[in-house]
Amino acid sequence: MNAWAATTDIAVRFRGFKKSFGTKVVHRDVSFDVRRGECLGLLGGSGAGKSVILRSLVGLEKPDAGEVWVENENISQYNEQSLIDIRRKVAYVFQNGALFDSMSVYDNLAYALREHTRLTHDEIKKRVLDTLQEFGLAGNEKLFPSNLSGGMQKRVGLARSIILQPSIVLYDEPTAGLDPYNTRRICDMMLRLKAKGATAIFVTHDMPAAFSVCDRIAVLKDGKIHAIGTREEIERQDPWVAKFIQGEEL
Amino acid sequence: MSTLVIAISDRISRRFGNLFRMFGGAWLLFVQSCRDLFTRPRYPRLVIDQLYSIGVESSALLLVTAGFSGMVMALQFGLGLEKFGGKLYVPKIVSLSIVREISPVFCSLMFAARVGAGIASEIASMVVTQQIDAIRVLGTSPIKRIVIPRILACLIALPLLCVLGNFVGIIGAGIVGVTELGLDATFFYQKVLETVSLVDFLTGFLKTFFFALFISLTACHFGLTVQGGTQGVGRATTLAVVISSISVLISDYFLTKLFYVLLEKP
Repeated sequence: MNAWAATTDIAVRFRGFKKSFGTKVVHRDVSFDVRRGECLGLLGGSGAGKSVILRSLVGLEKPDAGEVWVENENISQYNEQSLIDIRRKVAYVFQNGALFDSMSVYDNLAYALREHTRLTHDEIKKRVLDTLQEFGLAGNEKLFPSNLSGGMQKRVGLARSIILQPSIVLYDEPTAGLDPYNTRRICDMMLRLKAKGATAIFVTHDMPAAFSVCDRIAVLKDGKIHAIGTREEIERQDPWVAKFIQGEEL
Repeated sequence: MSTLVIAISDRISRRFGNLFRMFGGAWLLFVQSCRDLFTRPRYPRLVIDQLYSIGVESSALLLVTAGFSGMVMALQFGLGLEKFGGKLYVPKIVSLSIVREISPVFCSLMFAARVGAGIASEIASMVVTQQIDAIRVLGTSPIKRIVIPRILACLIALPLLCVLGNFVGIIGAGIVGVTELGLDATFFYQKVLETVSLVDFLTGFLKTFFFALFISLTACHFGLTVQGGTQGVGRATTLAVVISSISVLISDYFLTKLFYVLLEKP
């Protein structure tokens, strides 16, 4: 029996994660857990490697050393074929939406359903239109990504990511560059998904958004998890973290 | 002095390193594409879409190229041979040149410029805007959805366009032969039919499959390995066109030699 089996309430686990790009060492030894149904905020300065953590969870980056566990599988050495099942369980919300610009909004959302389910044309249509309705995007299904505003693109990206009803959602700065109203809408959607039981990791520089959505916060510094816990806990643990969160000079 | 030698050798080794990395990358892409071609899911619809944008939309450019190449060949040979009373040999020389070399090579070069650039810039833009990552994250394969349809479309479209190019080139040469050189149209086309054999046709036709593979693989490779944002997209596109055009010209010599040994040697 592996260590995982004893802790089945853990959805994501990093152990001794190391990653370098050329001579630049990004992660020296990253270890943390995310509990099932929890939303963990991942904070850190620019270039701290927050997005690399997310990309490693869907196999877009391979660790140089260490383990990456998703549900009950160590995916660190999985090949593309083996990762397909993991990617159906883990949704990735890209910073810029990463919508397919040659497809309409409808086709962007229907993409995963056509690829991974045996739903009929009508069932797919119903699921797509329901999802668009849920995300406040009804009536936009025929538009192409270039016709959408930044906020709408991000909401379509979020809708596309969760349409297969994944158990884990990874948010890579979904509120970056948005006005307060659209930030609020994205946060509300994240809270709705959380209420449905989805586990999440939320990478952001937007502190109010992080504190409004996340159960715990992890701070990356010098290639390691510098602090992890609730906002009060990490601010109490380390004055550096308190200054970082409040945007004071470090 | 020793610093200079080290710097030069470092530069040379880096250049060769890049070259080997490029060939290695394209080879790996080829192997992976061959492997994925025979596994599910398959996307015939995407191949048809690509056939339209790669084949149908390139046809006008390639046919104009072939037509005017044939016309200029007939004019050059006609005016040159006229001095020696050899004008009657124009249909033979021109038709053989078109079918064996001019049409396959010129069509492939134009194909590399239009289609190679298009594929490389499209894929590179998809990489830069994380659309390729999105394809992977959504549990699908960019090799199957992006690379294989483009390679297959090129493998189907370029040989067919080359065959059309042969016809258009010979018709163009015939027009010049009749209007500029004063040759009889029936005589011209009869000589073409007497001269061009199946082996001549196959020598040119079979090359285009290799050219199509080199162009599509090179373009896909440079598109997928783009680095450095929008500036990188431009660099990848330029490199794809340059390398695929050079590949066409270099491989043309070796393929001609190979087909000579296989098809013509007694």
